[in-house]
Amino acid sequence: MTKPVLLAAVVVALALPAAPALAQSCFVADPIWVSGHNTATATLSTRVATMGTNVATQRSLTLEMLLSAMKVQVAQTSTNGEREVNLTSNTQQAVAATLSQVAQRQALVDAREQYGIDTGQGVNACASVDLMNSTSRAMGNVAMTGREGYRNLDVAPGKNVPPQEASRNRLADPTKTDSAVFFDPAASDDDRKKVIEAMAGHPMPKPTTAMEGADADLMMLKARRVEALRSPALISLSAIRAMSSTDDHQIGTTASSPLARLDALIGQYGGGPQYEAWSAGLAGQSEHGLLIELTRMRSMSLALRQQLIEQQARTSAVFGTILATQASGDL
Amino acid sequence: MRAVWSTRGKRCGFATGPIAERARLLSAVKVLTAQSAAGSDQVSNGFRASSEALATTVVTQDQRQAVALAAHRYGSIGYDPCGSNTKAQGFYSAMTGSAAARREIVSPVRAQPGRYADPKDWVNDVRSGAAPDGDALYSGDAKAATKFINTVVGPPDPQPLTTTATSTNDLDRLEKTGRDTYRSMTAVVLADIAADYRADGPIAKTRALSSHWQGTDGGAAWAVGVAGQHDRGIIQDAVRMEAANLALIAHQIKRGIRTEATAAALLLAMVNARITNVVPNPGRAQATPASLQTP
Repeated sequence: MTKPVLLAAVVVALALPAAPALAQSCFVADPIWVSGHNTATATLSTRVATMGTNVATQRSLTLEMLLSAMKVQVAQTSTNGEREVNLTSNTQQAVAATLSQVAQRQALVDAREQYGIDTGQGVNACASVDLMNSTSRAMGNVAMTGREGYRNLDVAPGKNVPPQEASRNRLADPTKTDSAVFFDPAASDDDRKKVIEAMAGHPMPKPTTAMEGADADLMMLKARRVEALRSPALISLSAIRAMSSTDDHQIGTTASSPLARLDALIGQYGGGPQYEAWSAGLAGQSEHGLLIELTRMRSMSLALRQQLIEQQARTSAVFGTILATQASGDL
Repeated sequence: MRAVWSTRGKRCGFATGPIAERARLLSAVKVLTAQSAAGSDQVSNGFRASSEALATTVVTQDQRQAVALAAHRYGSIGYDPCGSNTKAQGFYSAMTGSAAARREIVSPVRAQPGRYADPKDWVNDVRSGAAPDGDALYSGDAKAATKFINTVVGPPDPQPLTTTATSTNDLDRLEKTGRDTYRSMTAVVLADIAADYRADGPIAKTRALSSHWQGTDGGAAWAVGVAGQHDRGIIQDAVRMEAANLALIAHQIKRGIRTEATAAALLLAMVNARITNVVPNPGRAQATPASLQTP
């Protein structure tokens, strides 16, 4: 704003002095004086003209110089502006780049921490998934392995094992009658089968072709009745036997028994040898990893609860049949 | 100004004024230009410096906040994790010790599967000392538990007079196999319960573990403990609780086997006690029982 005002002042200052020089005039009649006057006038005019020229020259020079100085000033101002704009823009860019780099780095660190395999997917993720998977599979095998074992018993419904053979089997080793084998996964599976058969008692005799119709019918009726009443107990005992079985229903794989899997699970999450490392591992997990760990265990709790439900269902069936037995008198 | 424009002024004098004036003006403009450049430099430098300071401040502040947040997050480890670790480990060793404790309780029982013994020792056991009491199972007293179990299981089978393989002997031996499975079931299940209730057994340990967070004050101590903790600390508590929960469900399944096995044995014993069916035995005086009157 100051610059145009200054320029206007300079122009006014240059225009003012020219006016008084042109105002000279004379009214004297003496020829000599007139001649002198004319000479003087001519000289003066010449001088004035010269001066005018001079002044004009100087003024134009001044104008030129001032213009040029103003041009320099304008150019400088423009340069300043340009430089300032560039600098502002560059600086802002640099600030933005720095902040964005910092934010980017933080985002990378965050992402790695939240989702990385070491800190964001639960403690020892692969081993945990293995443990969960083998436990679920082993528990899932219980029903099927139990059913197989149940069908192979010599007292299973529909079987017709000769009484002599059944007696021979039961008397082969009378010490194989300890029910403790059901609670010991290390005991032999065959011993568990022997205990179930000894507990079930003798297979019911079936009628032979030599028997008369009514006797045969009665014998068959009694045999079927007893077999039916025994069966829920045999299914339960076979399921318990399957809890210690290492059978796996997938070709080419072996599995540890469901009881051993439950022990491994307790070993991992219930204070066993792996627990301390697991608990320490929690401290290094991100929120994402902790939530995965939590959810993983909840899913396993859910799967185990299902086992509990099935176990209770079998037990209830046994009690229902106990009631029927108690209510029905001699067989 | 006036001196320069008087009539006596000479050319040089006349011109000197405007030239000096011009020089001053030009000088002023130069100063202005220089000042403008210098001012611009100042503005630029100032702007650069303040921007640098801004970036540095923001970055430093950010870093400081990140460090503070990390310290808060990773310093939040939930409520007394060492305590819950100790309790969980106590539960595990109690659980693994139960089988040995059970065997210790069950082995002095006189009636053992597949064995014969003189019943007089059993009679002495029952008659001597304190009255056998089912409360012993929950008292943690292994000897009293043994006495109770010994009493309810009953006397051992005496050695048969003859060991020749007669049909009567065979029948006795067959009936013993069934009876032994029922008796040993009673003995092992009751002994297992008594073992679980020993002073440092799984019952005591699960009680400690399952009440770690709830405590005896409705969880007030826990609430105070995690009040200032980052979310992480609370999630870690949830994880540890779920781990304990998972371990207890696994334990519950294992112990549920006892109920199921006992119920199954009871059903079989009841069925066998009611069988009156006999098989005609041609050529022999006595008919063969269709099954065994085991109890």
